[in-house]
Amino acid sequence: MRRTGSSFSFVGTHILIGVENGLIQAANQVMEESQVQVPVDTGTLKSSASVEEPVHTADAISVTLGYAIGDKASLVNPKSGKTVDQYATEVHELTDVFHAEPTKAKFLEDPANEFETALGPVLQEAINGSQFAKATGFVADA
Amino acid sequence: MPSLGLEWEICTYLNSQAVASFGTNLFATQLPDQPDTGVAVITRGGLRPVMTMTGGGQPESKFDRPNIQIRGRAEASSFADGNDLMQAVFGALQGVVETTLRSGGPLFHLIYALQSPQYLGRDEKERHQWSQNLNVWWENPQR
Repeated sequence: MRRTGSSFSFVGTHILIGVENGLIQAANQVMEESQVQVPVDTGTLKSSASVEEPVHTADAISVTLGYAIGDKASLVNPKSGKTVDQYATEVHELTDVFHAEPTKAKFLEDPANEFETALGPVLQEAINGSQFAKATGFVADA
Repeated sequence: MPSLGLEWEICTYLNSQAVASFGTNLFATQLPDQPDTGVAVITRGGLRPVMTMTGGGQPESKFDRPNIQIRGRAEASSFADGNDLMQAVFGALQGVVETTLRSGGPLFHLIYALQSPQYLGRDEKERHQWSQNLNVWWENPQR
């Protein structure tokens, strides 16, 4: 039983690594599209984008992505003198402000919502593409 | 079943809950420049509809999951009024589960806030601005 338990733990660890890799890939894909949509004046907001390192808790793995997070919150817009965290939310939420296409308000929320359908397959591929899966033939279904 | 559209359904509900007065300080689809203090309900993107198979080989759109944005504004000297209004809208909509919002209206499975009301700062007339986003799961009668 000990060996069986150990094997399950081994499999679980590799699945978690796959999930972590999948979340990072997903976050980067969402951010890639968001970078197309984010409005640009001085470029300060666009340059404040980040995909954070995965965070593990007892029952979850999360990857945070966004603008004006952490150290990048203090980037200063050279035109207004404001730090980016003072206006990032406003640019995101004011949907009646004109922006030249393809930039727009909701430049993070919309790409994230549109990615919902692709998240499962990305995670599945990341798990199945792990070194463990290749070595053992382990397959995760979507 | 008659359809008023999502924004109208939500506004009608908020009006019935005495949160705000539809057409006076509560608006659908856009927040007009006047009055200074008011809120608007605006449909904005969201998640894909949930599909089911009917058994006849045809998929059926079971329910829609759009986002709604609540845009709020208050005159320069009335931050508290605007903040109270946004919190009242939040309180009325957050956690609506398996109910109709009016007699004979469509079924709402769930409404949940994506975040608490966010203060956006002042507009060009120094008025305070807020935004909040909610995801709505509802049986769109137009499907």
